[in-house]
Amino acid sequence: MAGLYIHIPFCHKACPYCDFYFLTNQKWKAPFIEALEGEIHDRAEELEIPIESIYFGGGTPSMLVPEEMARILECIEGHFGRSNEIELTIEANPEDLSEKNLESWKQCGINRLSIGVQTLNEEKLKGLGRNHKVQDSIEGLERAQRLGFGNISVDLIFATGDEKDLDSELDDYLRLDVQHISAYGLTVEEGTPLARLVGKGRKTLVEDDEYRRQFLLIHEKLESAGFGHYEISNYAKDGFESRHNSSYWNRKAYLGLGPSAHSYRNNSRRWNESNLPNYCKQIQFEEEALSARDQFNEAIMTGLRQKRGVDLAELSERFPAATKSMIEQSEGFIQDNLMEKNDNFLRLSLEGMLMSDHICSELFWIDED
Amino acid sequence: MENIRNFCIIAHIDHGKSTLADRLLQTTGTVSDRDLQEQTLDDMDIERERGITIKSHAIQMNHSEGGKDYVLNLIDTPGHVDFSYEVSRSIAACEGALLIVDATQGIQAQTISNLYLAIENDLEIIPVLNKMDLPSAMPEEVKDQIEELIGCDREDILEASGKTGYGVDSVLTAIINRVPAPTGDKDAPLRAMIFDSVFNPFRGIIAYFRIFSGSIAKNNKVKFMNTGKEYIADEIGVLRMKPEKRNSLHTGDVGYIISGIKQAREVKVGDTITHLHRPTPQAIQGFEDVKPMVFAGIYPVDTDEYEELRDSMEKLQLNDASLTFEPESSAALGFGFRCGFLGMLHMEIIQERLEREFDMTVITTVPNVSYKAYTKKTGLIEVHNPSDLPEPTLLDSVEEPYINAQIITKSDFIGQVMSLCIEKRGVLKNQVYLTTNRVEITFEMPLAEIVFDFYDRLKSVSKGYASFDYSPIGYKQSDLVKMDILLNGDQVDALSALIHKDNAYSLGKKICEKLRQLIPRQQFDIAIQAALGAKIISRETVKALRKDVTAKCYGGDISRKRKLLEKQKKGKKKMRQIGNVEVPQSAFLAVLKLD
Ligand SMILES: Nc1nc2c(ncn2[C@@H]2O[C@H](COP(=O)(O)OP(=O)(O)O)[C@@H](O)[C@H]2O)c(=O)[nH]1
Ligand code: SF4
Repeated sequence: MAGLYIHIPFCHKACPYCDFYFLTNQKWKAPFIEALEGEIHDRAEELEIPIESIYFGGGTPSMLVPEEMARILECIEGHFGRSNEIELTIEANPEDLSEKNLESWKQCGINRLSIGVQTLNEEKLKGLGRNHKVQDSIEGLERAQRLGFGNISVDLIFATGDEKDLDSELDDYLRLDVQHISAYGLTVEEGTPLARLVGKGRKTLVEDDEYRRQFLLIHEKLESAGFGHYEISNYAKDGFESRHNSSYWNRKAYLGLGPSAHSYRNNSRRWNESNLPNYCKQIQFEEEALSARDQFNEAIMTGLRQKRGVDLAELSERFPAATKSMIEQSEGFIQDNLMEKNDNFLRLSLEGMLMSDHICSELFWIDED
Repeated sequence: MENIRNFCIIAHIDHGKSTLADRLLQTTGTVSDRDLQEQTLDDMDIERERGITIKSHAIQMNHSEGGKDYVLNLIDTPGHVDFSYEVSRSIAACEGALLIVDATQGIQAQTISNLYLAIENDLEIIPVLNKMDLPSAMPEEVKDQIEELIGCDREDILEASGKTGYGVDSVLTAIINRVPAPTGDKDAPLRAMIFDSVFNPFRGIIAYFRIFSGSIAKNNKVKFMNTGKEYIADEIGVLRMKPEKRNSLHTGDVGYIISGIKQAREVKVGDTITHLHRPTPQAIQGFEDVKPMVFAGIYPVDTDEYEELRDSMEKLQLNDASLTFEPESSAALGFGFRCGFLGMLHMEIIQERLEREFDMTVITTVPNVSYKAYTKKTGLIEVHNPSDLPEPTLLDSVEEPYINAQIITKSDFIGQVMSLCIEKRGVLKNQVYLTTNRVEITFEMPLAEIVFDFYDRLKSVSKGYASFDYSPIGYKQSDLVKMDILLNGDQVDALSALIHKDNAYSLGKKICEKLRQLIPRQQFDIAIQAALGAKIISRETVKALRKDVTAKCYGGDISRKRKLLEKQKKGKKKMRQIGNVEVPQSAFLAVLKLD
């Protein structure tokens, strides 16, 4: 079972905190689609069929016009076949949720929407420098639901420093009646305009304690509304966990197409160059084979992001010695209530999630060199 | 003897000494083009990267001029003030010196002091303007400087380019025609001066020498006059690209001797070699036992590696006799060594060599100079470690070493350079305009102030247009206090420093701030305090880490994130646990780089 990721490298305008690869110049759209078709053709055999999920990410995939979208999906179908079982997600910006777009997506077989709502607070949205209004999100969502989309995810950014009343914002989110919420703490990525603002002291993000408070509040409110906290930043109603994203955390094979897209299979990672003009000429990429140590560390890192945790039985079968010493290391964290172990699964507690990077790195297997 | 020319090169770093030397070797056929490694004379890795010849070497070339064959011995000199004694001995071994000046830069402070040394030793100076191929060369202006400095004729200044090879022949001709042949009585008793030594793992110590009178033959019984040790000359020879054995060497020659010596400290630069049975009545003058100027503790990051560290230091000392060390222990760092270095560069080199050649990860503590403490009861004690300073109540007075600092800069920067020196407790002694826009300033200042972030600041206030040199001038009484640093209330002895009382508050504040930046956040608050005795003079807090979580981790993030976390873990392994606080290696040297 495997997943397919398509990176659509276009956005209406650049959000100041974003470090994804995209261009705002649309003249590259036609050559991009042609090059993408070429890549699908050349690399289709890397994945075993049937595929389980297709994910259009970006960038802003909702900027593709219906014909473009249809053309890409047709090409995919030609190489990977077609099944109604496939989870087919498109990331969409609220301002692109027009009747026309939604209809055409429906027709193409898209059955899951991931909508970049980000916040339902107008002030906060302005602070994030997004291209849409809160009203766009609300109306767009209603439209999508009316047209029968029943598997919708929305994004929520917190810890921006503009959370005047997160509690009521969460109530607003719950009223949207969606199946999945991704809640991300705002992160300052190197090289972004946000990083420059923070560097100059013109913007400050929240202190650790406030971050914790918000993280815990979100957890509490969403869980009591029936959402499962199945990954550090992801909540879903039962059965609506993102299949595609879960394949990343469970280290299933995936093929990433488009500039900057990453692929993973047979313990090897590959990533395309983040350069659209080059991509259109000749795809450049880099590849890295994962050593046993790399595989082990990734298993820890991705396993601990999930509620299910790390499968110790499976891990110790593959890496008996490393697993044994990792389990010893974890004892201290268990004592400190940062981790839990049962049924041969090791996982982070809610408190542990807040310290996940620290804990992961401590549990890593590092060569004595 | 009349066909021998012994010469050295005086040049500021990067003015092209190595490049031009390579050209000389190439033109004389000493080294084939194919074998010509870049910068042949520098053969330690670190030297090549820094572009500084740290240890001097010598090399012999042959050249014909006017139908006669000549032997030219080039004696290389180290280019850094830390090694000024070695430079002085190399100079003493020559009759002539090439003064290489970058025609785009002009003369620098370092060059001047070495030049004066050469003039004092009666060396024939051959000025060479290098880098004449560059459009930015300003030959006339630099010639003015040189004329003024050494009072030579303008037409005696050569022009060359190590890069293109332009003028290299004229340099060789000048060496032959202008540098005097060695003089000395070839029948007198043997009198040879050691100007350098190297360690060879198979042969032991190889000493390089210059014969001033008499001759030496293989298997002679010889004596090193200052150490009083006696040896048999197992092998002697000359230094070509590889050492070449000879049966005998004579007055004026430059050569090497191997005599089964295992310890570098038995071979002292400046010592006189003579025959055991017909000794010279007078040793060569100018010998000094070089004393370390800067002291610091070196500790293994991993406490289990103490013995390994000792081994490595002993091996290092085999080829670097100027390194001294003795065991010491620190409450914070456990067992390690208090080491003496010639200067800050020397200290950095030792630390780097420990890491590269011996694979040791070490912590170097705040360096200090050597102080003289006069106590009421026991008299004079030499203090090499802040924690050895007696209690104030037992102390009569403390003296610290002073230096004469010479700085050459553009007149535009004179104000900034002066304020820096004054801030560093310097007293202006002299100010001379070398040309209309180049000034030489002389300051008397405490050596300790050079140790603390002086070079970097000088560079930045002068935008790189300042060169600096110094020479020690003895000890002076000073108002010094010991400043301690506390982490969560525990004093960290390895971070203590002796500083001037007037600087204590500002320095304490800066150090605490710097440490706050360097000590990573942990799961609890960390208090950083600077104290004079029981009095806290500054305080900073590293706030507890209350969250450490990556928000997004999808397909494209996994590898990058894994590598980041792996690095984080490796970083922690290089830290030292003090009480419950993890302190990175770099923190121990924090005080050196305060901005
Ligand atoms: N253009 C030019 N560059 C030179 C010349 N001689 C040396 N260089 C460059 O100047 C730098 C320093 O030269 P190097 O010989 O290492 O200087 P050293 O530190 O005095 O030994 C190097 O980058 C050389 O390539 C020259 O005659 N012309
Ligand atoms: S729309 Fe999404 S991908 Fe585009 S700039 Fe904004 S955050 Fe980045």
